[in-house]
Amino acid sequence: MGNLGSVYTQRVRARTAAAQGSLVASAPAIGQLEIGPGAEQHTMSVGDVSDETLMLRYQRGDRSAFGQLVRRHQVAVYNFLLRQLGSVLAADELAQEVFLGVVREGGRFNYETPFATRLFSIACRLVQRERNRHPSPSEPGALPAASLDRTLEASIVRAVDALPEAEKDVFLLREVADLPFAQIAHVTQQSETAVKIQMQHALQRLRLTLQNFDEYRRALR
Amino acid sequence: MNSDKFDRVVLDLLYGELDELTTAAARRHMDQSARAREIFAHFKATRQLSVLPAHAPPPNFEASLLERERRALAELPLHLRAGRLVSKLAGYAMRPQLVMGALLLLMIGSSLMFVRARPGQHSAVQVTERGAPEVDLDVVVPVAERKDEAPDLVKGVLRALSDATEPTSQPGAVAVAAPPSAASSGMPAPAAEGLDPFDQALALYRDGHYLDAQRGFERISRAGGRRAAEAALYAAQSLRSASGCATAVSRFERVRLEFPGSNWAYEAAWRAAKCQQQLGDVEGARQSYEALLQVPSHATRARAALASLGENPPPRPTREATAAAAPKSRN
Repeated sequence: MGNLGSVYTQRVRARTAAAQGSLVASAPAIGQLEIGPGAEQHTMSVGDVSDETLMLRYQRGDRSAFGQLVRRHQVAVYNFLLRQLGSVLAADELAQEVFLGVVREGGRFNYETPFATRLFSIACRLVQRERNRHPSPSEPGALPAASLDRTLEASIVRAVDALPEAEKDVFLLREVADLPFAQIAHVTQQSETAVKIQMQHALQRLRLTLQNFDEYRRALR
Repeated sequence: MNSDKFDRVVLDLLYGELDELTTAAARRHMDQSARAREIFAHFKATRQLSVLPAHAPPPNFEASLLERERRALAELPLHLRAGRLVSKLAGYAMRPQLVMGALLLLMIGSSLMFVRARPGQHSAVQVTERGAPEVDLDVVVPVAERKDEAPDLVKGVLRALSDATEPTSQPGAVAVAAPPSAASSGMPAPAAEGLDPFDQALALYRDGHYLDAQRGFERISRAGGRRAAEAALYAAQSLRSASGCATAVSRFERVRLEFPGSNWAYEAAWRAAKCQQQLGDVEGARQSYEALLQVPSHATRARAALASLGENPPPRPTREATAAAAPKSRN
């Protein structure tokens, strides 16, 4: 986890370079970043099998396919839950519950829905259950302290934490889980238009936080 | 594209979810609209910088999860496990080799079903006899109840052919071998001098001169007398040996009707039934055999003949039924 700071910087640089190279920037998702040892397993090359194929293999008894699915999605699921719950322990526990939910509903798996969408639907359901159990954010300050010593990064984390729940859900599903808006609408059970409105509101709130930084002014140019 | 449309698609443009045509239209709109340029620039800058720090899961996350997954699989409810089993089997069933094998077996099975011989729909087969008449091996001559009343001819025949006689279980009836034909036996014809007309005709019959024997027996029958019925039966039998069943069956019937109630009439009825059976008249033969069931001397053979026709014969008649049926048969 020690190299996460440099990862953050790499992501910002990647998005900036992409924005400069083309008008439509396609930023890499967290799940596709290299984090820690064995991170190359998280990347999915073109020749790799799809999530749905792996799920089919798992239903037919190939447990290694489940291992591949875990390695492919564990970072995204874990970070989504970490940002939602603010607790490493809770994120660890609930991330395992999300994948176990896939195991339990394996026989009823709907192949018309992308696997990632199904995965984050379970995650959102578990987050909502935790919110109902603990209305206030659990264990404030439980996030790793190393990530808070950078001013811009800490401000962004705080700004995201301060987002209303609906906007936070949409923002994290878009930025952390890298789901398209149509799939976010499926996960949150809203219309796609409502999802985009919430995303616009979330970005405008973040903009208020970011506009005091020089990096933001530089990015505007 | 106008401002309203741009506001609706600006996020799709930011995240690259627009098709090429709409993207080009949005770019053209931004070239012409400062407001659109400013909106998009702010969203883009915000997105570039709003990157959340990524954290790796705990080191034992995957191992712990796989262990819990193994336990969860073992604890799955029965219906979910059955669902996994069905999915597994369906995976095998969808393999092309198995599908082709199943199709091949289906084709072979259906072919065998069509090739299989169909059971016959006819209860009897009609057979037409052609050529020389068969040698009659089961001429049954009725024997009188009392030994001293037996015809002399029968005694003579029994003495002469006792070697070739095959005993039957039928009381009151004796099966004797048919007379060999003159051509096959090679024996000289016996002298006819000194014999009464019946013995002469019988000698001709034994030598295979059936037409001459028939004429002799018919003369005796027409003349009447003690042996008229016997001669009529032998005339019919000679006709059968000479010309076959097709012409003889009516003669046997006539003997039965002319001498009702006699043993010769019953024997004529039996032989008529045999002829009907050989001619394929199964129904007529069955009726004749059934009538003979009432006659003690012929009941056993009639029952066996009925069984050979493929039907269970009626139960053995009681003594009272036999007594009641006897006068009827004489009519």
